[in-house]
Amino acid sequence: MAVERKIVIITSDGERFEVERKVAEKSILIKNMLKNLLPVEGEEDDDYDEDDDEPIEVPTQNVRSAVMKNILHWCEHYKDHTFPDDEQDDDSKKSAPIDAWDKNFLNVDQEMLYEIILASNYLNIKPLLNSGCKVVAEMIRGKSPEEIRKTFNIVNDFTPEEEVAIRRENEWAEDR
Amino acid sequence: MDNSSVSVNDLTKLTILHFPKELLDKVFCLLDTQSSLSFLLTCKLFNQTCQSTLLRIKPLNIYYGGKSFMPDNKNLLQITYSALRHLETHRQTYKEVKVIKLSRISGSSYYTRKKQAGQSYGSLTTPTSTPFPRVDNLMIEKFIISSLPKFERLRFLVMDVKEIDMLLLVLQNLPKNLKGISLLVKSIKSNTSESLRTIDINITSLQYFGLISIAKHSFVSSPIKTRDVINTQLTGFDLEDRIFRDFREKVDNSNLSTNNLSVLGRIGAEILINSSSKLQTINITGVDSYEVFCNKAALRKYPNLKVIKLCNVSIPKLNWWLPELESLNTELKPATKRAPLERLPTMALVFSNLFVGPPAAREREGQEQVSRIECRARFFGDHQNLWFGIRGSAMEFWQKFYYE
Repeated sequence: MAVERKIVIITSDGERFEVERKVAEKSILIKNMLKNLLPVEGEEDDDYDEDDDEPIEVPTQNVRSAVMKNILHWCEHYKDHTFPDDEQDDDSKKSAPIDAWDKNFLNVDQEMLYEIILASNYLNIKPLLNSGCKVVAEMIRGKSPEEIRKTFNIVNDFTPEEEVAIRRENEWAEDR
Repeated sequence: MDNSSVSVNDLTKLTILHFPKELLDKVFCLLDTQSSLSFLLTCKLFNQTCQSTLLRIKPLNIYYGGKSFMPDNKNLLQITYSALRHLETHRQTYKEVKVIKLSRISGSSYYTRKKQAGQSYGSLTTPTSTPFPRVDNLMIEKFIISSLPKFERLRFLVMDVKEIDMLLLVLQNLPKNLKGISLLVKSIKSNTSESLRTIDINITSLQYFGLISIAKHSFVSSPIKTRDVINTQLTGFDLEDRIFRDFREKVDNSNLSTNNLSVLGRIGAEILINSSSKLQTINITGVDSYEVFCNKAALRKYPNLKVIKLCNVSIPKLNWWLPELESLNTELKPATKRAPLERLPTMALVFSNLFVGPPAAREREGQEQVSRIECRARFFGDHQNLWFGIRGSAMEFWQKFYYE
């Protein structure tokens, strides 16, 4: 029986992370890349040389090593977990609370949180992306505009007149 | 993406302002209404990026009717004006709107509108420093009607109905490809000439039609009266047959075609006829369904009709039309995306407390009767002619079911 080839993920700053295939394949981007390089598990491919034990290198140009380390920690944790089909039950997923492990995992400084979100978007890891966005939404929920600005260190660039106009334009959405 | 706001922040540090639109939208969609409005007011970037998303994910609440000189009503009309004005100045956003909730301002009189138009109520209005023109309900209604055809990707309309005139204007101006409409009836008023007017409805692609009473009273014409029974000198089944035959004759021959409920029924029938090839769900609650189906043309083949849902007062004359509708629609309906392997016949669902016991017993039970509502269902074309009971979570599912 052939030994499963390792996957080496190379980050934007040149660091190499050797991982199991099922860990790497939590990223749909990487999964699709590997589809072209390796046969699907359980299927035969005449062109594939199973004695070749060289690791497969996957470059990820948009993710730096500190972020990739976190992402792979998440992938490792969920490597045996099957997430439901993304097409299904979208509303219930939206309203579902953040998984406790994910909440703890994403308890990082804001910059790292945004980097994880951007990286999971680039690598197409939807469950991690969803959890990341939920954490950001939690940081916004129930806050006034001024409080949101303070949370995210944003400067108010509206004139008072513009602010009044925007309030008016969006009043239709308020629950009555 | 316009990142002009970022200039005031530290560019070397990654912030939420660096998120692409798709991610800001994703976060935005997870917020409740109040938080999403605060989010838009945070900075120009958020507002420019996500304002159109607000139109896509929330029903557009617009208001009409009411006495425009009353401060609260005036405010609702101003809200409508601002929303429509914003859409008009950002025309590309019309296509974002998927659902419109057209609410009628309550406590108002449609027929006093003409008087109001010529009067000045300046002293009664709340002072406002906002640069918006004075609005009145007539102007807003015109604005709504002229805007409706521009919502080219509108999927669903929920409308409070009071005036037949306004309902007809709305129906004539909705985009053709609307998928669902829910008419919430509180009361019905119309000009006397209304019944004579041709009902002209453009929509041909409805998959859902709802005619729902939200009034305390129900909309039933010609209820059976005791004298109808007393005057019939027969017994047993003959009595029942005779009563109902005479009664139906009386109803059908009466001048109901001129009353408001009948006009509403005719409008409902026209809607069904126009979209008969696409309709999947018909929901009539609190309005006598015979008012719709006494219009013979509505008794036709509905090749995609999956569910016809009726509640309590919509069923007193069920036997006058349902068997004929059933006989025309006995074939299995096409499978849906969600259940691609299942082809089922049309299903009639009736929610009522009539199944529980005689009226006197139900009255004695008072409030309890609300919770005693039961659901009976039958599949069209069932050879055994059975109505079967649906309970528990299945009943809850069908109670909530409104549109697929």
